[in-house]
Amino acid sequence: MFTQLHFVALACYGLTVAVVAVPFLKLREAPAPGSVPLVLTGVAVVAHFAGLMAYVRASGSLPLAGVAPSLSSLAFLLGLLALGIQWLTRENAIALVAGPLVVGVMAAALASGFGPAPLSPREDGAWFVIHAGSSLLGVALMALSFAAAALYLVQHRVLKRRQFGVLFQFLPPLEQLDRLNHLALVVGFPVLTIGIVLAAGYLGQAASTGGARSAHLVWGLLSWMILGTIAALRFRGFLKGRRAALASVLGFFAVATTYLVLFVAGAGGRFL
Amino acid sequence: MASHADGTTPGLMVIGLSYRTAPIEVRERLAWPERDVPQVVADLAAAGGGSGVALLTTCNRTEFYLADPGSPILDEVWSRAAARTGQPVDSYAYVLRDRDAARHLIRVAAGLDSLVVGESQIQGQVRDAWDMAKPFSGPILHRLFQSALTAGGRVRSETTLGTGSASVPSACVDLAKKIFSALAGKRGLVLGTGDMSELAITLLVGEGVLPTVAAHRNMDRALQITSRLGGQAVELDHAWPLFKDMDLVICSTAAPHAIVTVERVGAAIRARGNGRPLCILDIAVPRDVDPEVGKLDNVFLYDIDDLQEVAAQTIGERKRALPAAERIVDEEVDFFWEWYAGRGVVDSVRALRDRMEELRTAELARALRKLDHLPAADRERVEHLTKALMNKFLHGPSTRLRAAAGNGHPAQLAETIRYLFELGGEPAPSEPEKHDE
Repeated sequence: MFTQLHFVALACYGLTVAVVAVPFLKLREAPAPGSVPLVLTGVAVVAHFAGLMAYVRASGSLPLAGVAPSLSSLAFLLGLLALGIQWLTRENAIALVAGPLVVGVMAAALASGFGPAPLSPREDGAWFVIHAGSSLLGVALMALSFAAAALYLVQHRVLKRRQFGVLFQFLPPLEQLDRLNHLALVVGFPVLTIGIVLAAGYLGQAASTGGARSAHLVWGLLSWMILGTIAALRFRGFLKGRRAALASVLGFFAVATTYLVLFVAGAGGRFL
Repeated sequence: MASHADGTTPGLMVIGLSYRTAPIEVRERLAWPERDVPQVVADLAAAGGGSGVALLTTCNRTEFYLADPGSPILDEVWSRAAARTGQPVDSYAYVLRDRDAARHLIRVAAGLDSLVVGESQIQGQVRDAWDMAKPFSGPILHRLFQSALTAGGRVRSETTLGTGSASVPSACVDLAKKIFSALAGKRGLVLGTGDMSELAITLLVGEGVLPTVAAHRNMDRALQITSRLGGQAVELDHAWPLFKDMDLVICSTAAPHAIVTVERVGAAIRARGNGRPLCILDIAVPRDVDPEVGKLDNVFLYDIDDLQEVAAQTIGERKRALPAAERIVDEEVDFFWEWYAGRGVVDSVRALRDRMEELRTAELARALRKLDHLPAADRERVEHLTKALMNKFLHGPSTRLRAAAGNGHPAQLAETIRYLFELGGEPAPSEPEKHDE
């Protein structure tokens, strides 16, 4: 059941991206008013939530352990954040970047064999739940920061080059994107910090049982350091606007690439 | 270019370039300041060879309207344009003749040839061009500009073409909002105190921008504006360091060359906070801002063409009114052309009427001699009858002759009338011919 619901959610996310991207196929035509993408994202998030709940019922544990469940949770958090942004700003542009990310992560979750993962005794404890939950939320916020930054760079280029076409009309104001990027960092960094700190504690506890993997901690620490560096530079006023957007994009790619390398190199089996 | 392929001289001609044919770099060099236009028109008229001249020069177009132009005035137009732009303008210019020329001005005045279709400013600019050219415009251009302004007025009152807020100042706000999500609390600097500047300041203040107005010569005007709308007024020379603290700069001075240069404002812009965008909207023609300024980090520079392009994207509502507006233009072109082409048969129609009046008077006198017994009141009735009959007989042919002349060959028609009614004399010398482009 949860697999079917995930497919429904995936289809709705995909449809959202398609609807948002449709105006770009028409030259210099303004996109339609954005209630359709907002509704589609809402339906996708609801279906996704139902899918995760069905997984909880079927497996008897939260979807935080195992590759497919944790990837699905990450996609859900990112979808939820995108929905919130769409709702609050009445702008759908965020779905243009966040949408494909969600679709990609969900597709990876489904492709990796979605099913109830066997949990180690410690993985259903509160410590692990807070660690995994905050880590996933931190990564989702980092992805949101990346999405805002990517849109900022596109809008910056459009405005600088005076290209008053579909993108110009569709993308939100630079200041709004910069603020979103900033907010995602400000919230994401402490959240990820909590996840990392708890991971260290969890690693110490799990060392005796062999339930934890140092690669995950390496990746988490790397994410934390990159996000922390960007956040610190922003807080101190060294990074703003285009440079901050570039830093966010590069940071996100660095973290994503490192994770993929670690995962492919043999640390697979669990997302966190 | 002075004559048609068949060797005839066109009666009406427009030579010009506009945003459709020339980039702003060329247009700004050719545009004349308003104060110089009367002298330019006078100089062209003095060159001789035409019966009327007018010059329409705006940020979007510079057009010479010529009636019965001969070689001297045409040569003068081309050489002046080349001298002003520093290059031949042939590749950017268009030449329209007779009915096409008339239609062009009427469409321009109606706002149909504007980048922001339906914008109303052009109507005033056409009126100003007419006013400034009046001593030299002659009867043909006088009538043409009247028709154009009538069409413009009708289009704006009878259609919805002019509705909505699409304008360059509103585009300034739209563009600024693509950089700053909200303008409230932002600091704006406006260079210049003209009408466009004032309109822009009004809109910005309405959005919550804190304005500073910089004036070059007219400090009193700057103080008037700021006393009414708020903000502060400064001398233009003191404005350059202010670029450090501004979010938005609107430039609309009448300076003949760029006054905002990297040398003047580069240091102030570089001293701004890291990543803080500066939006510069240059609505002046010639442009006030050196394009190099736009290459500085975090500077977003837009000129009049950019703003009009943005404004033109908001005219969806207006597009629906286009067919009705074009119909009004067609009607006014027909009215004008009927008058214009009818001039070629006016003398013949007048001669015909004189001849008929002569015959009527003679026949009436002869008849009244035989009706001597009639009382005075009846004699008046008879005279009235003859006049009414003559007018009725001649009204149809006179009207149709003018209309037929409008469709071409007025000289032949005039000759036919003179032959048929034995009117004698020569046809009018300056009859317009219908030419093909």
